[in-house]
Amino acid sequence: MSRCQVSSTLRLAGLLLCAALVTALPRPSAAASRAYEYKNAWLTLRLIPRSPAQIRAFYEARGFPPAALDQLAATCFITASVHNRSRRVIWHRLDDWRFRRDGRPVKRYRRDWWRERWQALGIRPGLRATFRWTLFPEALDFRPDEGEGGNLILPRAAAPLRIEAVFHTGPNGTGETLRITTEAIPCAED
Amino acid sequence: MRRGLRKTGRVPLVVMLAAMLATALLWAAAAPADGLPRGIMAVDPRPAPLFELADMDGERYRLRREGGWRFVHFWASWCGPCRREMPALARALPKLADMGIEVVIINTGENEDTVFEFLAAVAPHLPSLLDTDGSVTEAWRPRGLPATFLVDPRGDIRYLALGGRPWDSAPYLAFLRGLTTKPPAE
Repeated sequence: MSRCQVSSTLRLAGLLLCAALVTALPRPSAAASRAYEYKNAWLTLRLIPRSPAQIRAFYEARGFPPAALDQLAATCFITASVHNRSRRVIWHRLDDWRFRRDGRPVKRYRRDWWRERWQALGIRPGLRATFRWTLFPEALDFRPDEGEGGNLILPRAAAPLRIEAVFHTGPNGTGETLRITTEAIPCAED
Repeated sequence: MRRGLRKTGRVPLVVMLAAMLATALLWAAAAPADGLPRGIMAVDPRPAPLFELADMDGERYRLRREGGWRFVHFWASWCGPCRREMPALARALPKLADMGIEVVIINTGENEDTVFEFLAAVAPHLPSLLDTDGSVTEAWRPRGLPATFLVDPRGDIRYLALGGRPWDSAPYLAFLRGLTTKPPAE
């Protein structure tokens, strides 16, 4: 009998036992994940650099093959989340954000760049969809109390990054511009 | 004696008033000015993208244009807010069924084993369809994960929920119950 033919009930019982054992194990240290948080009257921006080991572990658990993991681990991952704390809409376009290192602009790896990589590596569509959903939104009108997040992916280097996060307010984003400039944010190391 | 009676009679009243005030405050916190529970957004009606997907046992489900109210929920095991929302969703499930709301839960981009393993630990009785290539999720254009869409009996998306919501709490259940008791809008 193949695994797929085993009844759901039997699998459920086995997995419940496994889950109980797994949750009893100590969790790995999160020391590598220092969070940088910025708050103003409108929003909270949180940035967490992820180490190559964290990135490998995350995508490996989703089923990404070694070649894809190598590509991902060679980059600088920063998990960003934004929470709109105001009662108004906040407009976001990732193309408005600026990334700098040693005073020079840094280009992020964009979705189409990854799409080509995954195509070349023959990554199955489900994994590509998962990858897309783990990225920070390209554009969004953050509604009051809405929080969304995802990864920003940049070239890895020793020098820290300075990030200017830009948002717009008012009808269709034509109002006040909000700028949050971060301190020096390093790429996390293992 | 009379004094004592008055005193003991007042305590429950004060407690009751405090409880009512606390409930009102909680309600106000959960319901913004538009009368919808926090994080629920009315949208311009648009036809819900139709689909057919299989669940973990291979049973196929087809979303039809017309029916009752449908609660269509997208999630993934790696998504933190999805994990936090799941238990509330599982608790709300029988209540939604009693209201006549059909709950359609769709996993995005993961395989059967991953979904089964995750649900076993978090919400063992929650059924989920598998959008293994992510195409159905793309067609629905969620703002992020988790995402919940409320589809009216005509097959139009009328509301969406921003992120994870405490679906088993009073304001959300009252809102959902209200959908099924009021006549559909023109």
